[in-house]
Amino acid sequence: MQVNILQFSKRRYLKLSLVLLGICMTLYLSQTGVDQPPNGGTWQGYVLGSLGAFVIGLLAWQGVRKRSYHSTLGTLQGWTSMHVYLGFLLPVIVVLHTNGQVGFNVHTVAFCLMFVVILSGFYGMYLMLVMPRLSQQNLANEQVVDLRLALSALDESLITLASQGQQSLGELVNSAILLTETKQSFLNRLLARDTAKVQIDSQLADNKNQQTMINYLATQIPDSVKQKEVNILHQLLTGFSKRQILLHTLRKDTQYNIIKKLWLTIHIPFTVSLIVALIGHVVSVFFYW
Amino acid sequence: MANVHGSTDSFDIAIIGSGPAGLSAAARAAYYQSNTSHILLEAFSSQSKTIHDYQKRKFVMAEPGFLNLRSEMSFTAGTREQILEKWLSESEHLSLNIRYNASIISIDSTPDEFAITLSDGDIVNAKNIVLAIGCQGNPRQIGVEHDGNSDFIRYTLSDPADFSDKVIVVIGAGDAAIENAMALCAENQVYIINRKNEFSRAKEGNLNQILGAINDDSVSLSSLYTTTVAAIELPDAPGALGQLILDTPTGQKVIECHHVIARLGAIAPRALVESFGVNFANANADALPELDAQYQSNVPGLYIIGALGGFPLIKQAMNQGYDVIEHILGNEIQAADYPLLQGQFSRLPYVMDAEAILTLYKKRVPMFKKMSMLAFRELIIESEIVRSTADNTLLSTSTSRHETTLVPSDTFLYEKGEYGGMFYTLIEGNVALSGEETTQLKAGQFFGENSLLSGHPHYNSATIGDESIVIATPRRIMLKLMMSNEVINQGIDRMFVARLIDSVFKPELPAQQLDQLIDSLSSKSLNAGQTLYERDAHGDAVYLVRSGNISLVNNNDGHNVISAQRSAGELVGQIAMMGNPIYQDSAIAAVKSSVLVIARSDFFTLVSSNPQKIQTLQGDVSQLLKQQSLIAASGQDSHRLAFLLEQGIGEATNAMLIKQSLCIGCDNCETACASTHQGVSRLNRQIGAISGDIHIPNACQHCQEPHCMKDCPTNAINRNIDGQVSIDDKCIGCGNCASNCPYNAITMGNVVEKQAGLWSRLLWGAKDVTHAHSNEGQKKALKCDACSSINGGPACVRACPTGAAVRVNPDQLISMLRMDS
Repeated sequence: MQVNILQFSKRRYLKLSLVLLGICMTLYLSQTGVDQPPNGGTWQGYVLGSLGAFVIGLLAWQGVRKRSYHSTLGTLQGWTSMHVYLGFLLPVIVVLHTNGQVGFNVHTVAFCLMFVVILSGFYGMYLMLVMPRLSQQNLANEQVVDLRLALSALDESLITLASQGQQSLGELVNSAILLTETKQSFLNRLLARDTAKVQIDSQLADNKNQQTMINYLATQIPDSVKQKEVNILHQLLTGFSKRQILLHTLRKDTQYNIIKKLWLTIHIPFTVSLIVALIGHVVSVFFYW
Repeated sequence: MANVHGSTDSFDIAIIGSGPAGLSAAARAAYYQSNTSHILLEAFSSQSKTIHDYQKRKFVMAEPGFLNLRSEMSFTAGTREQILEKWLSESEHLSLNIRYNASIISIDSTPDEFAITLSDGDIVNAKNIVLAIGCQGNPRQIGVEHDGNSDFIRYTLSDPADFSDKVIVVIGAGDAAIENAMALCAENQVYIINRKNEFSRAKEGNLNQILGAINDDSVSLSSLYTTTVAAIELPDAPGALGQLILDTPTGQKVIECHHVIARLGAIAPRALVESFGVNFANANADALPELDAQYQSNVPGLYIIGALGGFPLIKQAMNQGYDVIEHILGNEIQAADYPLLQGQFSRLPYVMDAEAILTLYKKRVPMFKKMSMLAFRELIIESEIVRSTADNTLLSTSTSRHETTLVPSDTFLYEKGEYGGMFYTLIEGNVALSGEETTQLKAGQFFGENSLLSGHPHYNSATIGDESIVIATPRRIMLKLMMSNEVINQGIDRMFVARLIDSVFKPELPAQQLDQLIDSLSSKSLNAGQTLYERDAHGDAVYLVRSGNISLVNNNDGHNVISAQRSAGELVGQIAMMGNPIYQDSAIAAVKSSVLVIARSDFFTLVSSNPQKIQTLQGDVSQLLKQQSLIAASGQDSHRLAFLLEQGIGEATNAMLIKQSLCIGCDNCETACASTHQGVSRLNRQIGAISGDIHIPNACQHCQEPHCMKDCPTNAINRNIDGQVSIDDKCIGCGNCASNCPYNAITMGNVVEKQAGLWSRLLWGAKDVTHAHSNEGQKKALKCDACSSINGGPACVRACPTGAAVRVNPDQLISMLRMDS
């Protein structure tokens, strides 16, 4: 019953785009004649150019429509479906309009900006279709809020547990938890880097994936003699393994959230620049030919 | 004349309880002090205990707005502190004779007067008693010397933040005691005294918290089990330590502490009031005492006003305080609501005094004859009086609230498929009910009860004839009446059942036989999760769902799977009536439900009386079988159905669901909701259960029988004809709805006055989504209203860029389950 933006309303906008594509191809091909090659200056070129400019405006209007919560002009899903399909169509219209003519001028600047917008748009669309499932698989029916609470609770219990054992164990566990470094730099978050550390014998060691702690605990258990100590170590081992999974899940989730926002930091500013360059292109064409 | 102490005193009027009702009564009695003596007995050391126990700075409203106040005391909307201060100064100014710390043990009637025995042994005699003790009950006391409200010993905790670095002992093991102890232990050293050896009465969340805190050495909370208080030693000076001497299993123990907070539960007033000889309407917990039009109970000279009589609003209670004194003194007064009554009847086609019309109408309707005059009066004032007319000049005049509503003749009062919030009684003229057939109703009959009782849309349409008069009563008033009057409850219920049977079976039986059959039917109530019948059991009866939702559970290779759900108006178990008389599946209530039990023989009687209906019923069965086997066969589908029903979707009429494989987490749904709802999102996408591909975010489901509507004192929660439940401006922020909602869909908070405009959001990224609420000012109840007040339907759905958000009705659930195909 619920379909994605490509399938929206029986692929209504795909059909629309295909029809428009046909019209544009026909227009382009109708530019026969020996006096000039196909270009933006013929009447067909003007039509294609106007259509292209209109489509750019309509695509940019997506940002306004998204925030017009009282609007009943279609649904946002419909607009997004249209946005994606027209976004596929736009480069074709523009290339047909230019006939591939490029140079060092404002027209080509507009042309290139448009391609940056479109390519980032393709990536964004890919993300929209693929991210939900990746995120779903990562979180597995849990809410992020609940996972963070679970991590805090787990950490507290590990500290309490370790404090019941030898002092050195307590210090080790405390350091592993304190040095988890959940506040990361932007790059680390984007790459989901695990920079966890642990302090062993006054030396800072890598604790990526909590592995150092896990290895330490696993080797200590067979060595320990007292039952109470073995119990504590065992519970700590279980706890740190859970910690590994939780941290991994949260790191991945953070990464996905950044990626979901990152592509927009290209797509939007370049759209604004495109519109500026486009205005430059149109003005210069009409006033300086 | 305040605080008179004596061993025996005699008064004309004794008023018990110094809430708004009692104070108003005492003030009016004081007006007549030249020839009438009065005393106001208050169990505690200060006035208006219930209001006193409101949270600090709580804003108290003065609903109903349309009612005039008639009292010597004043009352306008304001903070708790303002109101209490005003009343205290007015009661001193008017020289009210108040005796504090006067708790009542018993009342004995002698031929001349009443003898009221107080807890300190004194006896107060009075010729008349006005009981205005409210419904909150008296907190149980510790029961040792020096007990009683003071700086050292309290029975409530209004603000834990007032205490820090103190030693505090909390006595009690219920939710209130635990919550107080938890709130205090962060900043104070807290002991909790439990007379048993476990916290058996507490809610699960509280239990986990308190045990966790007790076992955690870093938290300054200790508990003493199987311990009671032997004695109290008060502190020598304010702020000093007092002593609590305890009997523990290991001997006596002394704790030095700054404060003692006793949360030992409250003694509900009903038992006490019954011990005075007062009869209540029935055994239900919500039953009201039986009173006449002058507030007098069955005990002559004993009057009951205010919340105890069923009138919880402050203004009403104060009016009653004034009126009851006038009645006692034998003065003829017109009720304070007389102008309202006049207004209600103002555009009826006859000239009669409003009180006369009231009496006439009461006689006209068999059901109303069984009501007390007071209850009927309230019904009329809170209802809409509707008159149909063909007179266009009359119709074109404007109407205000509390005037007769005029509608054109031969128009719909409601249409089939609409949700109903009203109960209708035909007083004069005619109304036609049209479904598959048309029935003409006569004066004195009622209709519209099916939507009231089942929460389901109307089965038929109701058209009002020409020059007809109908009383349209809001749901809440009707339900309150049914709860307090057993005869009316049964009468309406009977009609509901009769009409339900008619719509499902269309039986063609002789009237007497049908009546007898219907009279013999019984109903069964089920809590969520309760089994109605087990698979493979012998099919003794078929069930007709009255309200709620029943899941049908099949066995799929050893696993139990839910394969269907049946809602109001549908049959359950009819497969066992055809062919093999064994139930093919188990039936379990998904939410609190009610079913009509139809024995096998009665089922056949009903069905064979109308052979045409048999085909329809059989068709229904085939359809159900197909659907069930498809769902049972797909483990995924039945798993999804089970998850949805578990989360309560079975009682929803409009629930929001998010398809996880489409949701990109952009939160545009929340932003849209906030933007269209005064800056506060009524939806929370970041919480809510997830199972596989379905996420149920936290948002109102618009239940068939809205839990929130149950206790709204100002009737601010309404359901419109399309089924959406919304809260209007009459909300006074009491929080009853938020407490009652099992889905946490209602938040108490403040709206944002000025929201960021479109361009500032676009260009500067200004935000206007908020879940946080400020603590200042009047909080109101906020929840999703399915965007019934704006064009286009739910903003959340329209604003979802990927189409992940949808709103569904459970009837669509089955088709929704086949989401991937």
